[in-house]
Amino acid sequence: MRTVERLQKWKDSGAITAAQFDAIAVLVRKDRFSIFVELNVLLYLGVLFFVAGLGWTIQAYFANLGDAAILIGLSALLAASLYYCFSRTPEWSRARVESPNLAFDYALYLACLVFAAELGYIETRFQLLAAHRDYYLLFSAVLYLIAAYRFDNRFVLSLALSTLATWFGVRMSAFGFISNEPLRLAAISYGGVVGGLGAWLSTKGIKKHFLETYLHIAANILFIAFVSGVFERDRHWLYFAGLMALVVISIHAGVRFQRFAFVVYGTVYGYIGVSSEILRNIHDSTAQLLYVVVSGTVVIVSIVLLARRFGREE
Amino acid sequence: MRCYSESDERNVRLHSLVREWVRSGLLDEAQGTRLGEELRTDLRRTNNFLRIVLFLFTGLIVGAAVLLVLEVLQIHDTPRTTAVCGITAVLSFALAEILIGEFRLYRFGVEEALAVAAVVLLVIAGAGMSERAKIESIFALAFTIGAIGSLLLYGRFGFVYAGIAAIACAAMIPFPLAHEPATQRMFAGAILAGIFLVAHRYHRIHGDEFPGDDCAVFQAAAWAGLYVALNLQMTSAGITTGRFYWATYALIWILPIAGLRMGIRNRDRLLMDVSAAMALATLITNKAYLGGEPQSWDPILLGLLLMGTAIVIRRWLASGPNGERYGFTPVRTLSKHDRLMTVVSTASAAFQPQPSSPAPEPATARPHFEGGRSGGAGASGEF
Repeated sequence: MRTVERLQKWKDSGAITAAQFDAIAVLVRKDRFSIFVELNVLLYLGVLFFVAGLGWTIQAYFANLGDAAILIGLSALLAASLYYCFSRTPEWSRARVESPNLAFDYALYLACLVFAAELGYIETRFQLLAAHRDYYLLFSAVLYLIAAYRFDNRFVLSLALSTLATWFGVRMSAFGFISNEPLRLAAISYGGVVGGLGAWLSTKGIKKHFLETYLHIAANILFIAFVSGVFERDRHWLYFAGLMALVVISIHAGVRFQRFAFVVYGTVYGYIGVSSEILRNIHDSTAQLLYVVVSGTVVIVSIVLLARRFGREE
Repeated sequence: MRCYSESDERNVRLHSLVREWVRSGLLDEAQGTRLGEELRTDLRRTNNFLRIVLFLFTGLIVGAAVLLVLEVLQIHDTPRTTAVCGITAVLSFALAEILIGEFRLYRFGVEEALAVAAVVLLVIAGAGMSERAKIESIFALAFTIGAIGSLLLYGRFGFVYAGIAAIACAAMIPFPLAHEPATQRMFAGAILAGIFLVAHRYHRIHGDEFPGDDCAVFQAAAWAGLYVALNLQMTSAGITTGRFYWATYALIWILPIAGLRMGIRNRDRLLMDVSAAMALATLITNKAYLGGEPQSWDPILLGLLLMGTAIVIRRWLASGPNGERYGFTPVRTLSKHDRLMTVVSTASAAFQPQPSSPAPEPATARPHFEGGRSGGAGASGEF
């Protein structure tokens, strides 16, 4: 029986109303066909290409164009984008706010990227903050964060979080530690700050729908930092303990809130960390392979049990 | 031949549609539960995240188990390694069959990894059996086994990705067999065009209902593959002029347009999206095809074109009666559209564009006019 026939049967039996049948059947028959995602992807790619070309042009022709022309051009573009956003923005709300139109989100995203280009140009040419130029990153991240919350824009939120990550990286590298330690500490601090900030804002009821973006980014950064620490010879037990704590939290929360991506993070990163610790002390290749077979089987059995209990939904 | 019945396949698909309609607010929760009960099958399923973990770990175990057998039995020669791979392939396939037959697993990850591992091991065994042959023959045999094995997987278990792998392997067969790049691509193109026509025909017969939905995927995959095989600037072919070169140039314009036309006419989303991506690839590679130098403003123009196209289409559709024209609407109709954009925006954190800035000039440039080469503002000169 085809889908439309099944819908008709449900309508006839009273399982769905006539209005529901009309609304669904029109989608199934493709009499109403949305190209929402396609238009969004076109706009997103358009912004990316445009900004990439802008950066390339500035780099290639800044000597010919001159500072004034470049700064006036970038400022005009920034002002136009911001004017567009502020003139059309709906009233702010703690809850989710729909964009007034399709291009709105991308105009703001473009404004933020043009702002980054302009700030980068100013600092490179005039070196106003010189040794403290990393504060540009922090300033940009805070500004993007404000813009993301003001205009309810996930692309700008992601931009804010990645800019903040760059600031943490630059800041910690400046301390001059040896090896990968500063980067790892920066990543752990960053993950903690982002996860904490996302959770705090969510508990305050401010843009709760942003929480998952925070948590996915924070979880991946923290896991990568801890796993890379486990691979090191020095202080690896400290990182191992941290990794295990994170694994427990991630899997427990993933199961509890039915967010199984976090179960995947906990399982995969946890397995890599534990295996690294165990295989560090096994030098016989037969024993190593046997370990992989046995431990892999244990993971599969555990996940199957978990799937039977919690993860039945497709 | 299929190990799942047609009604099970249809019910599984309809069940996920019902869930999507509930999430989109078209049905209420109680209705969703009631209709879901009606569509329930005896198949054991899991969500996609756990499925990925189960797939990865099962694949890991199969790989480690083969290596363990080779290690324990001290097998280092090719004939016996081939035999072990062949036997493990049969065992893996049998185990997948047992898991599906006994436990009714459906897209559970474990049975999928076992079945895929069977084909991979069979390819290795096939390559091992012909170790004395020329390397080109070994590759041709491996692709042939891969194509047939993957096709069997699709036929038996219905794994769509196995069908796509079969298409890819089939298209690769001419590459080790023919010496001329033009011949390789012509044969690969002919194979992909043939697959496209067959898939297109079946899609038209079945529509979007099972198995028509699978045919739509294969049709789009073959169409994309045909484009990749013919766009000589996307993959290095070593052909820069001649009749074949200019024929492919014409085709990289014709294929996206024809695909978009078919996709829009039939409301075939996959074909439409693949053709749009092909059109984008044509715009990007056009200059290289004509032997032009890339300019820094090319991406700016392309970006403006993409944004402009999106805005014009949206405005045109939105200005129609009820905000749509010919059934096309720029608004989201299902919640999955929104979820997809959430994933894209979150993932965008990993690849944010970093607008580059010019290199800083020395703080105090002393006038000295020797040694600088043209370009790079004389930065290579010695002071």
